[in-house]
Amino acid sequence: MQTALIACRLLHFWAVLMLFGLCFSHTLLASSLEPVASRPLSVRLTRTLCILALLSALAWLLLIAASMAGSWVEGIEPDTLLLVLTHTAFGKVWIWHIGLNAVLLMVLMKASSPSRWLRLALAFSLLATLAPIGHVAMFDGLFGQLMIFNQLIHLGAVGTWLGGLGLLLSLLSRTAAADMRAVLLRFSGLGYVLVALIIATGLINVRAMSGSLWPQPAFSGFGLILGVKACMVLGMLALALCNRLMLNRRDLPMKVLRNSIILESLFGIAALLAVSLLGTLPPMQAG
Amino acid sequence: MSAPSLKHLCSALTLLASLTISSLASAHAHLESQLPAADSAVSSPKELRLKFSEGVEEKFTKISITSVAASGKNLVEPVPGIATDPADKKILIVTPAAPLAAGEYKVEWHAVSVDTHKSEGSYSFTVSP
Repeated sequence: MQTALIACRLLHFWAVLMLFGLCFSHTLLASSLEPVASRPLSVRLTRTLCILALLSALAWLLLIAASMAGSWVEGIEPDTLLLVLTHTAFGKVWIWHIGLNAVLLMVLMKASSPSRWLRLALAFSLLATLAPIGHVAMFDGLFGQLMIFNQLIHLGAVGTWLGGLGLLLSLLSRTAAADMRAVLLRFSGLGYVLVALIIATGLINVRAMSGSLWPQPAFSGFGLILGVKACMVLGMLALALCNRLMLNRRDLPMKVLRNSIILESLFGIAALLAVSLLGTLPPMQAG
Repeated sequence: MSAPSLKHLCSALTLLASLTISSLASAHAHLESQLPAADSAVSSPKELRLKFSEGVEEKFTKISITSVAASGKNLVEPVPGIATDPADKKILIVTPAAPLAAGEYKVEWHAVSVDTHKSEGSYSFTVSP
C-alpha cells in the first residue's frame, strides 16, 4: 500500500506541477516573445496531463482511505470515502482539489483553444490545493498558514522550472536557433529567481519540519532521502549552468542542448520521487 | 562540476549541518501526555484525555480500553466515545460508555494524524476503589 501511495504521489505531483508550469511559463514567455512562443500549448499534452492528474488524485484518495480505515475493503466503501472527504483535514482539501481538477479537464476538453488566463488560474488553484497536503499539515495556527504559503511558493517555483523545461523541449523541436536563443535567455533569467525561491523555501521547510538545519540522523531515513533530493536538485543546477554557458557560444548546439534539458527534467523527476518517499517518512525520530 | 565532486560537496554540507543540531518531535503523532497519567492511580474518571504531538483525526483514531478483572481475566470495555477537543485537535477526549469500576486498565490507541500518518501505542492506569 505504501509503495502504491508513493507511486501515486509521484505521478500526481508531476502531472500537476507540469500542468501549472507549462501554463505559467507559456504565459510568461508569450507576453514578451510574441512570434516564437505565442503558438498555443499542445492541447493534447495538457489534456493528457490533466487526465493523469485526475486519475492519480482519485487513486490517492482511495489509498488514503484504505490506509486510514486499516483495510482495502473498508477503504473503498462509500461511507469511508465520504467520511474521509468530509471529516478529515486531508479530505476537506482534497474535495476542492478533485473538483478543480475536474473543472480544468472540462475546460480543456471543451475548447480547442481555451482561454490562457482561465487555464492558468485553474492550474494555479489546483497547485494551491496541493500546498496544505502532507507534512505541513502538522502545524496549526498562523505558523501553519505561513508554512502552507511557503509550500505554495516552493511548489510554484518547482512547477515553473519543470514546466518551463517541458515548454523549452517542445519549442526546441520546431524553432530556429536564432529565435530559440532569445527564448532561452529569457528562461535563464527567470531561472535565477526560481532557483533562489526553491532553495530558500525548501530550507525554511526543512528547518520547520525537523527543528534543525538538517534532519537527524543525517544519513538514514528522512535525512538520507532529503540528501538524495538535494543532490538531484544540485544536478539540475549544474546542467542549467552548462546550458547557460552553451548560450554564450556563437552556434547553438541544439542537439546537445536538447539532451541536456531532457536529462535535467529526469533529475527533476528523480527529485520528485524522493519527495514522494519523504511524505511517508517521519522528519524526525520520536523523543 | 563532475558527479563525484558534487557528491563530496553534498556530504560535506550534510555533515556540516548535522553538527549543529538538536532533536525535536516526530511528524507522526505520538502521545505526549495523558489523563489519567500512565501508571497512576485515580478515582473513577469520567473521561480520558490524550494529548498528541500533532492534530489527530477523530473519525479514524481508535481507542480500546481493556480492564484486568479481579479473576485475572481481561475484559474489553464497550467502545468508548471518541472526539477531539473542539479548541485543540491535538487533544483526544475519550468517554467510556460506562464509568470505569475499580481495577487496572490498559489503553491502546491507533492514531491517524492530520497529515494522514498512522501511529500507535498503549499505556496503563489504575482506578482505585
